[in-house]
Amino acid sequence: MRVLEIAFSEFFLDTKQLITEGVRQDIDIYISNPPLDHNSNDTHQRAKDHENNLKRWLKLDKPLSYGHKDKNKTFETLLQAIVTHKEDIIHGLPNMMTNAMTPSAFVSSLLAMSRPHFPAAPSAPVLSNGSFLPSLKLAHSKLIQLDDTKDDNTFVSTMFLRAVKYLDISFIPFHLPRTHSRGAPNKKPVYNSWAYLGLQDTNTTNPLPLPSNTPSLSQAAASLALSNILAHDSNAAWSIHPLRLADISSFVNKATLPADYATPSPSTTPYVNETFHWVKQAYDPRKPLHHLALLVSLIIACLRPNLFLPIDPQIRSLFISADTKDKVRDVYHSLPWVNKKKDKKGISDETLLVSMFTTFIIALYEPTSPLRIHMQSSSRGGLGDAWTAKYSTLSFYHIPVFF
Amino acid sequence: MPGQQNIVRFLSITFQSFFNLTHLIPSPFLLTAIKSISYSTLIRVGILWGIGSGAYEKGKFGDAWGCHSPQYITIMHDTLIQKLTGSQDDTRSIFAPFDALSLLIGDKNARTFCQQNLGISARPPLHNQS
Repeated sequence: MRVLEIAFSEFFLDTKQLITEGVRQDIDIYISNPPLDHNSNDTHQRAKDHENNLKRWLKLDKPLSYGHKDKNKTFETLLQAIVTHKEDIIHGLPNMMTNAMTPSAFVSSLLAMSRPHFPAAPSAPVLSNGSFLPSLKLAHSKLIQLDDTKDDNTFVSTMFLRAVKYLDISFIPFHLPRTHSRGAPNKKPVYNSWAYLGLQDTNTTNPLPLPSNTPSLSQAAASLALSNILAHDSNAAWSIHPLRLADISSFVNKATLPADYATPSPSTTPYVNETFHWVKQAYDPRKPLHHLALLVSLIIACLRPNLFLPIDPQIRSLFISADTKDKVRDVYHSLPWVNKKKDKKGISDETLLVSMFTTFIIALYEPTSPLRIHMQSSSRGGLGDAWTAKYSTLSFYHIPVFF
Repeated sequence: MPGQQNIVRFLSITFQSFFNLTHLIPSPFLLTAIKSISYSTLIRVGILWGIGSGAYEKGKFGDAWGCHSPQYITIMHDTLIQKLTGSQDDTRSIFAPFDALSLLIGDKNARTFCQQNLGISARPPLHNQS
């Protein structure tokens, strides 16, 4: 892994050099040909902002991460350094929304350029005269030597993917869009065309709506551009908290469980704990059931604390005549969602609600889950008292109290 | 007096420490909670099916409640994605969260939640409901 870290540090240096030259050239052009509606002070202030953002970005260790999980604001800083006109900031880095690839596709292209025999010609994001290419070739050959299996690229490819994830590389400088004109296609990375590594291996979801053209201040526009690209990027880290129903559409493309997917306190009965861990490991967003389970759980969690039926002895009688699945749903839709009792609180932590609902749904549907295996072996075919105690009934629960 | 001040400070810190740590101490008075993660909640939102009174309580898996077919789940998944993203909506996704919620808990309940500061707008009803 260290050898890849060294190689990718050269990639960051090449990229920083590319961006610095491009941005400074742009600043010079901007100052010598200011927009007609700008006075001299505006022009110099904007140029100064570009330079300050560039300097801030150059100091970052992981310059190609979004930085939304820390205080660095990497993406927003880079965006403000690169995009000349404030009104374009909202659209994100140039061409980024149209150039998307999977991390595996990115790694494959790097491996093709660095393989010992018949390497492919360097192309974006690799500079043909940069320091990354020789170190990439060296790292690739060292990893081949370390590979015991020698039969395919799996080991090398896995190590590259790990490095990409570890270094949080979410977007890369790319070439200019290819035109239909004559001549060799654009391959050289440039500072003003970008791609992001946000695609899942198979396309499973619809794209989100494009950002609106509402004019905005540059920082607000940069934040909005970040939100847009994060919503599109399946592989970017994301969190449930703070959960709002209006935000769930931005989670639709996520390929991983959220970073704050909570673990319930352990049960004394093994199958209850095993089910939680089994589901967490088995979660595959490409399976409609798994993806649906997470989305439904997110929506249910938004309804807290009103997650219960009213306490009314008449309710049971409504279901006696509901002899089809549709009639049962009609009865349920006619009943209000309420809080159970005023003197007792339900689970208020949305992260825990989401993880427990997701676990329950997937475990019920997957015949090999520890829960289903327990149900098959139990004499009554039920969920078991331990499960019911943990997930459905009155129990002691950790509610944080702050003073 | 310095000695008295120290005692007061010590008691004050001890008192504060106790309250700062209360969230770690299980107490039936502070920490009682009811959980809602039951099969009936999942029937309510349509991800499981139910029939008869067993759909409400004490039902047997496979008889009174159970899992939908993979085809049903795929259609439900695709429909929910469509609603959440507003991909077939001409209102610029303003009502996407309401449409998704309505798919799961029904129009009437979704409208009730919209009136409870859920932060989403309800789609205007198709007909005048007088």
